Amino acid sequence: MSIQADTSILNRVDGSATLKSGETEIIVSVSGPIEAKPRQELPTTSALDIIIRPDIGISTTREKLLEDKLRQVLTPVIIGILYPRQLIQITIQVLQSGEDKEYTSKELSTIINATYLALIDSNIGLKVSFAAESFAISTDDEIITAPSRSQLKSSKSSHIVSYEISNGKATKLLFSDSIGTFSENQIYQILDLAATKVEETHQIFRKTIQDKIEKDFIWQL
Amino acid sequence: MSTLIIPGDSIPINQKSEQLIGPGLHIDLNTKEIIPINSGLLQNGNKSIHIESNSKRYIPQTNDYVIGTVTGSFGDIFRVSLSNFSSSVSLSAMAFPNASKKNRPNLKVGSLIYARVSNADPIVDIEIECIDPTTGKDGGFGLLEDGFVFDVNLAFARNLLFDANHPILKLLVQKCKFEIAIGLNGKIWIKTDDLKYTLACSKSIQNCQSVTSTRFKEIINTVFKELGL
Amino acid sequence: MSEQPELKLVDFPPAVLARISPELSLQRHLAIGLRPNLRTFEEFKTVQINDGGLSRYSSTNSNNESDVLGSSILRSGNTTVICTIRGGIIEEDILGENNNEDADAVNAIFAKDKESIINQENLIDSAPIYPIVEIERGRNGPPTDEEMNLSQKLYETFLHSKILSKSSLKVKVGLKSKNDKNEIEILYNDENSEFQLGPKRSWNYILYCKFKIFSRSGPLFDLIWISLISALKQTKLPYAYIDENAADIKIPIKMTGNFGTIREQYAITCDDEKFNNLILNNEEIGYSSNFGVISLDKNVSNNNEEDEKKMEIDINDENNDSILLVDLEGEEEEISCKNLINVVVDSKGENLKSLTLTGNIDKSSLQKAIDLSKKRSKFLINQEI
Repeated sequence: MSIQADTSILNRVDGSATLKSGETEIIVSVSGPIEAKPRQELPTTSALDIIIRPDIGISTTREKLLEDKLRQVLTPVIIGILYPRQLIQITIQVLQSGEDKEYTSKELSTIINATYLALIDSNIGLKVSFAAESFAISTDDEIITAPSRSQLKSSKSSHIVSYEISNGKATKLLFSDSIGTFSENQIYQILDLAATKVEETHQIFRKTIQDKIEKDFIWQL
Repeated sequence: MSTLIIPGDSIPINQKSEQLIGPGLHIDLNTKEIIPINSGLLQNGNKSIHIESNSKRYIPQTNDYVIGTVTGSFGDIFRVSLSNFSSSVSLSAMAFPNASKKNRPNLKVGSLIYARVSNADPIVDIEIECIDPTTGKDGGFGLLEDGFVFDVNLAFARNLLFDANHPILKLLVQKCKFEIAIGLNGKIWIKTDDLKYTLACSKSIQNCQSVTSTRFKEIINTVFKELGL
Repeated sequence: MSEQPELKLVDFPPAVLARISPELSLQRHLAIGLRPNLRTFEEFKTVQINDGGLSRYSSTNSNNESDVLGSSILRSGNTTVICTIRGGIIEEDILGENNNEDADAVNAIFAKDKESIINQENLIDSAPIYPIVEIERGRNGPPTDEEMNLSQKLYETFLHSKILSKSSLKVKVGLKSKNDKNEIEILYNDENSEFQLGPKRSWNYILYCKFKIFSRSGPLFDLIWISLISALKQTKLPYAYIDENAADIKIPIKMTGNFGTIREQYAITCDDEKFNNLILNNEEIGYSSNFGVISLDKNVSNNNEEDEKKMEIDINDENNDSILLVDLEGEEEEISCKNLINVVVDSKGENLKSLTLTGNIDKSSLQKAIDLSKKRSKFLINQEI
């Protein structure tokens, strides 16, 4: 599957990234730490404002739930105590969802990955790197990594798994969400498979970050 | 020696000698480990270790030189904005040379000032001052009159400020006479005798951000030529 | 005036400590093998559930005018969940090929799409429900994030679990008309006479369900899932008929073209008495459980070691530092548990329907959680009303 990533594409926000992963394409912008409104302010840590806009139409509860899941991924990773009473605003525009409205796994995994790159670009303190991958189980019990739209449609279940990545290795589970019909063993298989898949994805991101740093410090050469 | 480092990587800490931990590194409160929190180039020296990374949003650090805009005044305190949408910082009317109750600095909303961050603890209000604490004199800080302010990347601003013999400044000096103030918050103030020179200088500096140092001369020459200088 | 400032240790009553330092309070409870709510680590909250009596078909309800088709009332601890199910009838979209004279030509172009529609046997058969979750908190206003997330999660989990088939929501429409003797009667398809309205029209029920929650004390998904299933199990769908007299047929004719389309409008009325039971795919129905994984703070447990030697045994049999808390409840547990598991299983407990893991969950905790939730689901299925 093809992954195309680019960072610093928007010049009026602090960090931005675009990611095309298979049929799904996402653009993410990060602003922060900026001044929070009094009702958002948290006394000891930074507030996270996450906005997801769908590719078609206005955002609904479907996007609300995605925002909530992304928040569960980001809260432990962003070092909030560095920016007390500040706000980190993350705006995500889905350009192409690459899946039907009933599914969210492909979108969520691409959103998590794109947000990682945008956060790196914005230089917001992160405890650890992270990456995500989506999976599906077909009707003949085969695990498909990064399913296509039609594979997802005919699948029994869809899954998204995100790991923390340290020194290029997937270390701790960060988030996982599965829906459909699947067995206990299949979920263990997917969790193991995901660890190797996110490591592969991370290699690509490392290259993207390398390119970004080279571009940032080009005047040193 | 500088290598790429991203969050999650382990960093080589010199066990034998004491090292100061600089920007981009953080001590995890639970595990007491030193972890990289930004991605950039690891600068591992004898006495200090830090990550050199670029960003656009300025986070105040003590002793940084910054350029700010006055956005309001409340009693003896001026509110100063260091970057758009960030929380404003406070500048006491007493933090000027020779300031007293009667002798208040004349700062209006919209004035530009060059100042030093004197207290950057994020849990309380951040303070800046226009006074050199060692001498008690102005030390180059204070109101910036006239001139023009523009934004650059933070890493580039650091490089310009800390390298007194920066090739860009050397090249510009050959072109025209100018006054410059570089803020670590990514703002550069420049003042020349003629608007054309101001524009040329600012454009040159901005354009130099995205080219290798070998092309500085070429870029500056083209910018000046475009403006007919 | 030579008073020495004195340092005094401040003692907090448990309730105050729980408020100001929930993590410490929880750790102290855990160190003696108990939870703040006095349950043991792997003890689920009891759930009482009954037919809410709000439905028009309910035997205990005297109000036959009610538009509620099914209901349930659930009590668990202090929390009460009221679920009501209402319905609506919508006309199904007609595929072009059944309606259009040029269908062949159109189909030729979209042939590929049609194929993929047929292939997606999976979700297309599953019918959704449309939930609204309201957590009473003493004031009005737009729905909170928690309410929106709960209803969306409920919608997605229900749809993907395939508990309800589209076919069980089909309306078998009857016809109210005058017979030969000039008496008004309602004919239904399934009784005697076979009549046809033409193949072009079909109607479906859709189900709306509304939850009202009082005294929230912990994660709610489990509870609303149980109350939804219970309400759906006794939901009844009324018969519906078309009133011949109320039917309205218009033929607007465009002057410029020669296309005359017939616009038909039928008033569909629901029968007051006759109803069918809602058919659910029982083998897909299982229950939901939630868990928190928390690591024990050694410092806290060591301090208490001397006082609470007996209780220590409880924890020592686990080699692992992390413990699994079942069915989270109360502020302390919700704030302190950063690692969460939510499992929905199917009726036999063989397969899972939904699994959400937040934070670093180790495999042994996950295995244990899945195991417990299968047992729990079996228990609830047996307990059913």
